[in-house]
Amino acid sequence: MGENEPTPVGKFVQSLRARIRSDNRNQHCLLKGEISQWKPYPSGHTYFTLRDDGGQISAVIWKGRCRIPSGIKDGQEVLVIGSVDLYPARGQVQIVVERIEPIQKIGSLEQQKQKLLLQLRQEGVLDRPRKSLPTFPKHLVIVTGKGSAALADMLQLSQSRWPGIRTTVIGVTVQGDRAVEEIVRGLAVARMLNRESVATSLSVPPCDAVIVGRGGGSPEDLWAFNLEPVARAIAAMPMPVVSAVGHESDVLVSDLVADVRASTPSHAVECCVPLVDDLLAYLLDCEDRMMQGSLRQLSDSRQQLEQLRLRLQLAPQKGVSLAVRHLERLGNDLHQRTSAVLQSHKQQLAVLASALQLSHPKRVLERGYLMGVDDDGKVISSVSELNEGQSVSLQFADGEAHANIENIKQNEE
Amino acid sequence: MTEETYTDALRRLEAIVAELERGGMDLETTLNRFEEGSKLLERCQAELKEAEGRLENLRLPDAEAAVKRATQD
Repeated sequence: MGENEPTPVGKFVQSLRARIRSDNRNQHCLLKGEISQWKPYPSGHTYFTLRDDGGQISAVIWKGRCRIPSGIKDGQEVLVIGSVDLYPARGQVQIVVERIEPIQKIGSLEQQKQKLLLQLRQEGVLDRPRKSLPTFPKHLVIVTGKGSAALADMLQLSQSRWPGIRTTVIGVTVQGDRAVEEIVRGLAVARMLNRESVATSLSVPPCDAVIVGRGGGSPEDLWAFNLEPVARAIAAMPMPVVSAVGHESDVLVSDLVADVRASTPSHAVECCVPLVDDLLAYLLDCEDRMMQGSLRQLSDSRQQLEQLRLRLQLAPQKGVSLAVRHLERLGNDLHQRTSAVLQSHKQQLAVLASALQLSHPKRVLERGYLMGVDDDGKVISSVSELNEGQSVSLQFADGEAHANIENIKQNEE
Repeated sequence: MTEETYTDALRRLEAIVAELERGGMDLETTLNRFEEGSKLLERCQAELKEAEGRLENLRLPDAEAAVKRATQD
């Protein structure tokens, strides 16, 4: 094709389209404007014009490619993320919308959120005592986006921490118009699973911990977790609830009413599901320590017993020999003391005996003296006691004789 | 055994372990504590086993239907 050859318009448009689409500056543009000529078609595509005072551009929302918030109509100011494209059939430049959000909706939602928080605070819902998570759940229920990446992450993490831990996932819609209703219904199912009768009928332990959440997203995507029905449902749960919405900035109402706030769904799993190996290792450690302690204690007791046994064995012998020695010592002592006493008594007795012997009147009589005794048996020691003609008895060592006093003669002084 | 009693059992077990490690008990008390501790250990281990079960990945309507059937039983 020469330089001056005309280009078929179709080819020109195609080439122009290629150039528009290959320019990164035309991809994922963030635009602000007002909606006009909003036209949903039966095919499912929606066409509208995005405009402001400075200009306008056609826009299209392909069927199912983008969530359309409720209440969008002409005149609504919106934020749009979209890529520029050329529609070859008409040669029309248009924005293919990837996301669309009404602008003032966020503002009014924020107001609603603050109002709800105020009300919940006044009712004491925010200050109520929180339930603490069990050491491990017997039956964990996860209410989250069905088939979502967040769910896959949670299950993978949970299984790595505790393979086979009993879990029931209730897959719900977590954004869009149906989100609030479905999250609330999911929580209602979890609450039913907490009932003993229902759990028994399903042959599972009653649900004792709930994770409700979703992966990260824009504030609008997460907005269901700021709404009253979800907040009330969480607050009314009989078992501990972990709020697990992946977000960094703003705190959600669900975070404030839940028993535990997790920063991400994975974090929620870490809060709920312990590492089973850690628990087992701890129990084994306890067992080991208990065993060691008991053994030490037993060997102490055995030593004590052994010592007691030895002491018992030795005790009688020791006692007897002590007693014998004691007795011996006592015996010796007694003997020594008594013999000394006896000796002194003997000596005394001998002295007394010889004294007695020497002083006895008989001894005197034996030497040739005689003793006069009157009729009354009284010894006569002086002639003055005598009268002439008186009868007296004369005592000899070997007998007595009776005599009458004939003559009394007193010695001269 | 409820969850609270698992934690209670573990606390009691820890107390027994500490007591045994501290020592100074008579033989009978030692044996009694050891026996009690062994039972607590078994209970705790059984509890951990009991926490294992199936993973049910249900969509909301199926979950609701299952719970509804269970309430009618």
